[in-house]
Amino acid sequence: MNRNDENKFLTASQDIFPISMVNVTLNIDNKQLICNTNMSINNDGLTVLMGSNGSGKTLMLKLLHGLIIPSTGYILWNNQKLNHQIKLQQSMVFQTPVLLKRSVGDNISFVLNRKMRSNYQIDDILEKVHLLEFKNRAARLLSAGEKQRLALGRALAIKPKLLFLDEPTSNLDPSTTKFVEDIIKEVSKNKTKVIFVTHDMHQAKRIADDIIFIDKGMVIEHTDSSDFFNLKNSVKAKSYLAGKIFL
Amino acid sequence: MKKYLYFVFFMATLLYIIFTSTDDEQDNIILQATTSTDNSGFFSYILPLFEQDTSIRVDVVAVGTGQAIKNAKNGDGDLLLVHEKELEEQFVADGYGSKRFDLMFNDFILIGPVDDPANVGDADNIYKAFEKIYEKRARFLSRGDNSGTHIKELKIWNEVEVYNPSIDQEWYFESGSGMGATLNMSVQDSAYTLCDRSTWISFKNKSNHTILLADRINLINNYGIVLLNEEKYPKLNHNGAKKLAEWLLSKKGQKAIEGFKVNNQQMFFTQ
Repeated sequence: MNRNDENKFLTASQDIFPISMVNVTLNIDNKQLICNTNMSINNDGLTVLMGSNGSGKTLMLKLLHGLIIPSTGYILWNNQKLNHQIKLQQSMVFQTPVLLKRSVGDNISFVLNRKMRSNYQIDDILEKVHLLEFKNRAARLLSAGEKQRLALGRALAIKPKLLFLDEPTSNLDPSTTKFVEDIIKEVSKNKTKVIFVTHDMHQAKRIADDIIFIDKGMVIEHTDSSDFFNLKNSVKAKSYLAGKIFL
Repeated sequence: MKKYLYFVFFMATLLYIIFTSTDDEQDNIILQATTSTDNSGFFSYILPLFEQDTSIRVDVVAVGTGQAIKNAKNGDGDLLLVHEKELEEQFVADGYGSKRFDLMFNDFILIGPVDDPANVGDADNIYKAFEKIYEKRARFLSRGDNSGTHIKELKIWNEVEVYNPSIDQEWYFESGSGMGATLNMSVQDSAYTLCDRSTWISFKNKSNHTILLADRINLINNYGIVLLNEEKYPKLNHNGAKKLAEWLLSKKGQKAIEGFKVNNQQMFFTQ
């Protein structure tokens, strides 16, 4: 797809919801890591993927993002297979941000379509993540929290319909964590579907509209956040909330 | 009562000997190596085999080749395992190392988006592929970290007379990071990237990226092992380092190297 096609696409984008997983399994090195999953995710609300370490949350996220192909079964985005147009509407923020060896401003402009890019737009995004004053600074000189904010800015720059975040605040201090959560909640209210991975129950309680609880590669529950935390749920989820599930 | 006290004293002494002698017998060495080798899972596979035979524990410091060599020059490692033969030989010539051995090889590959905007899939070799990327100004993501992969990539750009590509801001970018992190970014941003085959095979987030070009004549990736100069670095564990080098170069070690597979694909080859 050349840049002109991308432009046309971005002004007339297709719907990508619901995301449907049908009989999805994932085997790596002869181990079944995701087990026969059937699930549907709509575009409303902020969804949190939750579970203990090693439960398969990140793998599930990567499957939903199309980074990993299932071993069996399939995933559809509004009844379509993953294609370039669907990919263009998604963004992901990893636990450890990977940034270009460039200035903060250049890291944002990298992801913007050339035609759309302007200094105003770059400044707007940097302002949103409180990094405008560092626009000309080398990205590698930012602190961990600043780098994660920049990674978030990059992800938001393309105005994604679907934003994935893989434990983005696990290495951050409490005030930066709150800042990131506030942005994500705001983004979620403004037509971007957010799917957020965390093992932090308190964080999930703060931000989630609905919870997908995963244990040993299986989706145990997919329910409203209030139901999940009011213990109207499975035995395994209750044990997890009580701190009883260990690797 | 006396007998009881003698028994307690005897048990305490016995336990002390057991635990302290275990610590003394555990030998260990520090191996300065590269992120690409580490990312492939090679060390997790081979070092336990070595440790089983020798009881020597190996701690790996995985960084880019340039950084690994720098660390070794600073005496921060007992042995060096990287994949840039010219730099390794220079390291020995300059007196930092005592000897270099060929250990194993695989190849680099050019990966990129399936739709291949620069049409590199039609190129006869890696030089023509890089020319096509340059002509199209297609997005290229470099590691940009002075690693063996980065150095190899720059040599190819030099050959096609694209000098200092990082100066042209429009199409060439650098992550400054290891191979896995660079691939994550390359996939996310639909860029071309030069990658070692073993990391690509192990890399899980391939999405719509694929191998667009393999060139086993021009993209051979040689790994060498370098012993450090004993006179220059008297406090390093040269005995342990020699044992690791000898084991890796032995028939058993070379067979183990060839036995390392991911997704049923052999990752490294020996001479």
